[in-house]
Amino acid sequence: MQQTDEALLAAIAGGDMAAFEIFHRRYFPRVMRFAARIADSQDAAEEIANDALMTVWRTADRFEGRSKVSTWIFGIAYRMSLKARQKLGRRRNDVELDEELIGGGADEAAAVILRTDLAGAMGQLKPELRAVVELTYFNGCLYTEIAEILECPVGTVKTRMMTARRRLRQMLADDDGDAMEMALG
Amino acid sequence: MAETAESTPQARHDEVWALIPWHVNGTLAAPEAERVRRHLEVCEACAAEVDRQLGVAARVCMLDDAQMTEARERSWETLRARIESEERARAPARPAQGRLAQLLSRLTSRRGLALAGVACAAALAVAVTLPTAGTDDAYRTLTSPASPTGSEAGLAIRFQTAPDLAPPELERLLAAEGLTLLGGPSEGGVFRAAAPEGADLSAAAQALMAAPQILFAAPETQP
Repeated sequence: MQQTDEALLAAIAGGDMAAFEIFHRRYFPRVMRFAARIADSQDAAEEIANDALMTVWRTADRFEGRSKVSTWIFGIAYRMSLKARQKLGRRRNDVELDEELIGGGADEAAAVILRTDLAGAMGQLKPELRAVVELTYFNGCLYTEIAEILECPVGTVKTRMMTARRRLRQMLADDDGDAMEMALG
Repeated sequence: MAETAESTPQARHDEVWALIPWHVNGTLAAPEAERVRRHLEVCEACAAEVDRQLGVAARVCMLDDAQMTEARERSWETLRARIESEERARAPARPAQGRLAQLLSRLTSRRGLALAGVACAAALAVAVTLPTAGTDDAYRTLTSPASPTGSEAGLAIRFQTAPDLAPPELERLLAAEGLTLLGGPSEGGVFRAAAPEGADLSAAAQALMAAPQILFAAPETQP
């Protein structure tokens, strides 16, 4: 029978390395992938995932169970990723580029974005938008959990997701989708 | 919001449109899920958006598994080394001492807490309760393969104690559950205890964990 996250965390709080190993195996891939999306760096992502998991090891006894364990660790990883991103000098100019792309229409976007695959398009989103998409589709979080992780209102999560959907569709040159959404206002 | 959504078709559409990603990932609560489902039956635009978002979700989930496995293994080695190094840094320097004394030192410590000055008395007490063949000196985890001693039938429990638990008290707690100490603590502070043939390991672990001095107990996993 698989141990719950809560049981593992209780064991980790008691210094149980075996429980920590199970927790690590369960969370490392998800946390690293999430960090890579937010920090925009594969190398930094591994370090962020390590640091986030070390934080779990060191502070498991302080977890009060007011949120899901996954919400707690993704919140830690999100804040670390934003800091790492800042440190790496990935400033918010990607946001400006993003706005320019959208403002310039599909043709301009297609010219600037060499790879119109999803990864490339995701890379053009602001980290706040990327985080919502990743947490929804890769980690299966509900909007209320995402709001806790990102420390923002639920309405903001929904708005960010709407914006991300719209921008991804435009960047992926989904003409049908554009027409559909424009028709819907 | 719900009232507005009920009263205005456009508001209902907007609400469902916003919820589509969480309809796609299946996390909506029942009432919301039902509202979305009903609306999708009559709204082609939303139904098309669901299909589109299913495609996005599938592509978001694509991963390079081989690369990730490698990174995960590398990460675990890094973290384990980091933790062990921190444990060593916290532990007081020990004078040369016998293997049993070292075991006793760890018995009264957790995460390297200092040994109280009663090692000799404790040594005598644990010398009685610790079978020499069953000591668990090597680094082991709950996921490590079970050692053959005392667990051939898989009837072993791993557990951790509060740092100040005296050996006689540990012996009493184990005896109350019909358990026999096999060895420990490991570097991670894990002890092993054997349960009688036919015992319900999960129940025994639960019963053991009910004692406030036991921080964690679980049946030993098999390789």
